[in-house]
Amino acid sequence: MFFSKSKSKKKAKTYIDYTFVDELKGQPISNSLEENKKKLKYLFNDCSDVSISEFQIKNGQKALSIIISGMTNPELVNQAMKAMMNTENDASGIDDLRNVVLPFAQVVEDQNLGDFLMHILSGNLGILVDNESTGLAIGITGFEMRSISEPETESSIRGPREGFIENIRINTSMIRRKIKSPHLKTKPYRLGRVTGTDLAVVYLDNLIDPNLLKELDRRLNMIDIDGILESGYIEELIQDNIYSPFPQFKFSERPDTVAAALLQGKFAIIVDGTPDVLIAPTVFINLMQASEDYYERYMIATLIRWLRYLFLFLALTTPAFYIAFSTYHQDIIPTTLLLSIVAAHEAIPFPSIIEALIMEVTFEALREASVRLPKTIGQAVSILGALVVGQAAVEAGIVSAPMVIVVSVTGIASFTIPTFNAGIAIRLLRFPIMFAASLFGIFGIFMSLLLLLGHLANLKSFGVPYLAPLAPLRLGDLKDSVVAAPWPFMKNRPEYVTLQNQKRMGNELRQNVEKNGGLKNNESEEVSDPGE
Amino acid sequence: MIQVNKKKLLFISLCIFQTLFMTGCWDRTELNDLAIALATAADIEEDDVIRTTVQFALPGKMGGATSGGGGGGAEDNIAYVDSDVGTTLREAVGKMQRRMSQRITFSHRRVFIVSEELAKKGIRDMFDTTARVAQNRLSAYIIVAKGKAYDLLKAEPQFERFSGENILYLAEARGVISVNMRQAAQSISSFGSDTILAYMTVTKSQLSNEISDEIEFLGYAQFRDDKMVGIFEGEQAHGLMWLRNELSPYTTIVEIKEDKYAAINIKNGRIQIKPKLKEDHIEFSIKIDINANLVEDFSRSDMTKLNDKDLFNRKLEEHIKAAVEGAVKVIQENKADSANLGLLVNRHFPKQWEEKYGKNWYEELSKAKFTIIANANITDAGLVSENISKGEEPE
Repeated sequence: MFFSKSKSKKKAKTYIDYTFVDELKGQPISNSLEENKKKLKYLFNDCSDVSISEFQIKNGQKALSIIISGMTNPELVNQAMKAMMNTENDASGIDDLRNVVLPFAQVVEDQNLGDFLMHILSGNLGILVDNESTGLAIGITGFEMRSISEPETESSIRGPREGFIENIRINTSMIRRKIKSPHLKTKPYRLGRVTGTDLAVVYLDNLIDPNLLKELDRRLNMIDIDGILESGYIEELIQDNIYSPFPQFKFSERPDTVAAALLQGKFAIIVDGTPDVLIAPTVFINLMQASEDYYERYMIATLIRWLRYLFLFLALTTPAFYIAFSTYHQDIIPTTLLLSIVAAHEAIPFPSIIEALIMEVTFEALREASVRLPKTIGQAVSILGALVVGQAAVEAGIVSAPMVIVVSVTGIASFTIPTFNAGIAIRLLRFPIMFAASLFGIFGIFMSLLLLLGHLANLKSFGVPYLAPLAPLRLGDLKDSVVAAPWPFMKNRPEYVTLQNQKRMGNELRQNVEKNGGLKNNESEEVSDPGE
Repeated sequence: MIQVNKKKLLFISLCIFQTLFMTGCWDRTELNDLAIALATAADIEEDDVIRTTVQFALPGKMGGATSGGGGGGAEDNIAYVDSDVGTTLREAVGKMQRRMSQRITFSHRRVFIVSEELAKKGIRDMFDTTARVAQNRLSAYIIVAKGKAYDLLKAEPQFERFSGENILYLAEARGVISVNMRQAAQSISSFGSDTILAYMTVTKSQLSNEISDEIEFLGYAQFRDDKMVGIFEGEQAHGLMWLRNELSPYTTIVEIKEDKYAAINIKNGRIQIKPKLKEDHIEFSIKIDINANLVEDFSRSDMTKLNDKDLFNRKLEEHIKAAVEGAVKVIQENKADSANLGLLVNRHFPKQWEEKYGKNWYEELSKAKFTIIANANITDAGLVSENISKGEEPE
């Protein structure tokens, strides 16, 4: 005890003690350039990517430039340095530098060390001048990043091909390009004690419920964590219910999906460093909607939506029903079908539940393997899976052919769910239902489905019931959930989200459409029908 | 918020969880452990002992998993018939179960055959276990076999894998009044109606390379109460179909000119039966509308000619009338109300039925008179109006 005490006394601090860059906000920038330099060198000790160099402005004043290599645009750095060193004006001091000398729009004056450091760490060029207690941060960030490409997880036939990338500024610009309105707000947050990750909460201030924003602000400000590397961190930190397999946020890589959500009065959270943008409040129906539903013809979109609901049910229950029917309810299988199932099952050594588990677990493993593996090997895995797990297992008499069909149907069904995080929830829930089926037959299936329904009815995403607009029922919203109504009929925004303004479009078009069954120009004299 | 005692909560949820295991659902049976009975037959033997014969499916021999998809290594004998005797049906089944490794299940039995001999002694007991055990299907068809009932199960018809299946499809076929066990029981138990059951036998196929035993639909067994008393065969069976107003399309052969026949398909029709009370008997006036089409004509008539068409219509009317009369004759002779006429009288004249006719219905039925008016219309002579090989007549 004594020993350690004395040791800690002796030990000199080798670093400026802070846990978050923001804490340095209390430290002002010193008047003396020497002192500043010492402090910075101290802070960036052993940081090979930080270059701190002294130079002279034209009038002879000493100055210091700090950049992080690889994060600033080198050409622009050169331009800035040239401007400062060769200035023909009688520039002296920070104000002149900023107002007269530097040919950049984004120049910020920082009064304290914290802000100044943060700017440098985000890729700005930092300038300190002798005898000045103000630092300049010049926004000439420029680093290598992935170019905009089609989102691989959310591809579509029709609709924009661009997807978000890892840079928050590019991402906000992609939304801004879709919504050219000052109502579009991108409220900045910086979270993560160590990582200092930039977040932007995006919303339309003329639509969104102010209370929703207040609640979001409260939740975000409560976050105190060392690092945020992906939007999943935020999702799990601020969601309503942690003990649910169901996602209470939708995430998307598509700017059009996010823009559409904003236009419904929802908000989006963009996290720097990930292309996945969170959208909330999200209800279950949202997870079954794809952006294409709104671009394709509405009849096809409706049918495809129904198909998705059907296959959602199949993905959840097909193996369970197979187990229940084949172990408890043989009586209600049509005789001929029963005979062929029995014939296929004759040589199988396992009971149905074990057989189903073997196949389902193998299938999940196969899928996991093909996600992790490089694409070139991924193909080999799928061939292996199809041959070994499918055909060979049947021929070896380990699993029966109907079970392979059941597993394939389930697999296909789970791929029809348009959002990935809803899909994995369903994949997970399949297993408890299978167990219930093997213990209690159809009774078990329906009890577990009831439990599931109860859980869903209990869930909320930022105050919005998860099963809305079905429970509580909002009749007006059924046209964008049960069916996909054509655009002229979706005059109002969804009711399940509280909004400041419900109206989406004017009356005239819809009245015209209802009267004529479409927009026709036969009443207009100036324009005649083409082809007449 | 309500304060919840956690221990109490745990205790309660444990109790609820336990009830799950008391639901009696622990009858898990793997598919491999099932002996699936497809059809059963009941015969009566000496000393009133009942012989029960069961036809099982042997799906294991159907060529399942190991033989692969394309091969189809199906063997011929996938039906297996076993039989035993007992004082009740279940006793015999119990005896059979003792020599079987798989559990017999009757939930897929769609056909139940009784022999003529048993039917004549009464079939009431046969309905008992069917309704008592939930597994059993009341929608199974009940059939009367000419001769021994088990012969029908032992037959190996060519078209289906199991003779039980064959019988099922015959019982469900067009032009056959199908009566399942529920309907039969209902009919037997209620007044003013008697049941009829499909009547089948085993016959040899003709001129086939390998002569096989096929099952043939003969007509209907007529019952009074639960005892078989007669048979409707041939045109009588068709007549009965009209009388019961359970018409389904059938083809019949009508003599048009002397020794010249035509095949006519009865598409649909309507029958109205009106009972009238006369002093000493009941008169049923029957009106039949027939809608038919011509399928084959050996009389070389021209259906575009009104004369020919009228002749066809008239001959068809006579033919149907004769068929109905034939059925009536069987009903009156055997004193069994196969056409539910008693029910009709009861509905039209409930009071008189109660006072007079109900008590002595079979006697009244046997002396009832029938007037039949038929009205036929052949609407469709097919794609041609006359034989295409017939030469043109000079005008």
